[in-house]
Amino acid sequence: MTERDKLEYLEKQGINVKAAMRFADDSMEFYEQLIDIYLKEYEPKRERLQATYQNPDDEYKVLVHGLKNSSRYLGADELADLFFEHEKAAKAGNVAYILKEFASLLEMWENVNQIFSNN
Amino acid sequence: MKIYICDDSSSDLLRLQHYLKKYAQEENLMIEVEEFLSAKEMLLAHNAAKEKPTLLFLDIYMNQIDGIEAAKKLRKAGIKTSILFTTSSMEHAMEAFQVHADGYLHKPFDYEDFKHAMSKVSDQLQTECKTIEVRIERMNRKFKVRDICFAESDNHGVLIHCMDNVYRANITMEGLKEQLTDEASFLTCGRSYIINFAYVQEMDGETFLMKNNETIPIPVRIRKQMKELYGQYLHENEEKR
Repeated sequence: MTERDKLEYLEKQGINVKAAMRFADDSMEFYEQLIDIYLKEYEPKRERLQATYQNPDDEYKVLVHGLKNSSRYLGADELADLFFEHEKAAKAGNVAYILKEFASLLEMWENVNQIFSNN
Repeated sequence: MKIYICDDSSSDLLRLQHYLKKYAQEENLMIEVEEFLSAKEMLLAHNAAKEKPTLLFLDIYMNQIDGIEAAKKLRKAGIKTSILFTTSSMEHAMEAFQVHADGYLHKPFDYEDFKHAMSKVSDQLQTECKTIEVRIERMNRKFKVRDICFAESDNHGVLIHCMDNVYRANITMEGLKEQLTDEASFLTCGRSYIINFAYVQEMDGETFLMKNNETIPIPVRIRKQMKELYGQYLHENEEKR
């Protein structure tokens, strides 16, 4: 797969490639390094989210805050927005929202991981 | 020059490291970057470090000790290192102001945003890195400008006084003055001395007592002027903090 093919694939999957490349200093190599880190962090961070979402504490807030940023940097804007909703809910103590939307958050995150893994 | 990056996100550490390398190349700066995934780790390293960082990138939103708290601890210990906060919200702007942060990098940021934030500390970085080259015992030697305490004329050469040693350079006072002409903290004191105000321990009106415990006499005709200039230097540097 050429660099162009990879970017076209990501764009078709809804990734904001233009923004992601800007944040990666227009370097595909650097973008791929960032994707690698994101993928490596998926399992341990998902475990921590699952362990804390029913009683969202500071750790939950910090986790979703960080995932919002790392998703945004890679161009996964929709997922970043959803993490942001969870961050706001955690700050406001809106546990009901987190409990209701947690499954869909995980599902979208899993999808994004799949997209980056396939690339 | 040392730069610390403290962020609980590995990808943000990598991004800042990447941007810093590029910036250092563009600006011809010699930098050494140390990374920390938590404020606790960074504070411990800072306490133990012989060479303290010139610049610190601090993420605000971290578990346990957050960036603001870490900055407060450093300031309380009298550390004046430049601080650039990295954050995705402005809710801590007032607290950042209170710890005399030099600026904010708002996440997500690209290289242009990064450069803009760096422009706020670039003068200090340039000063930290600037060197002069002089000839000592038939060899060219580079000195970090910030390491020069004062210089003293010596026959046809100049004695360069640093905290750890004195070096005799084959250069005229005029030649040295020329090399230090853009340095705000350096000033000619009479015909025989160029002093670095950053190393003045005390001024009693007639002499400067330097931090290496040497005394520099101030000629009578310029005492008033020296007092004013030193006062102005202290005032400006206090304002920066």
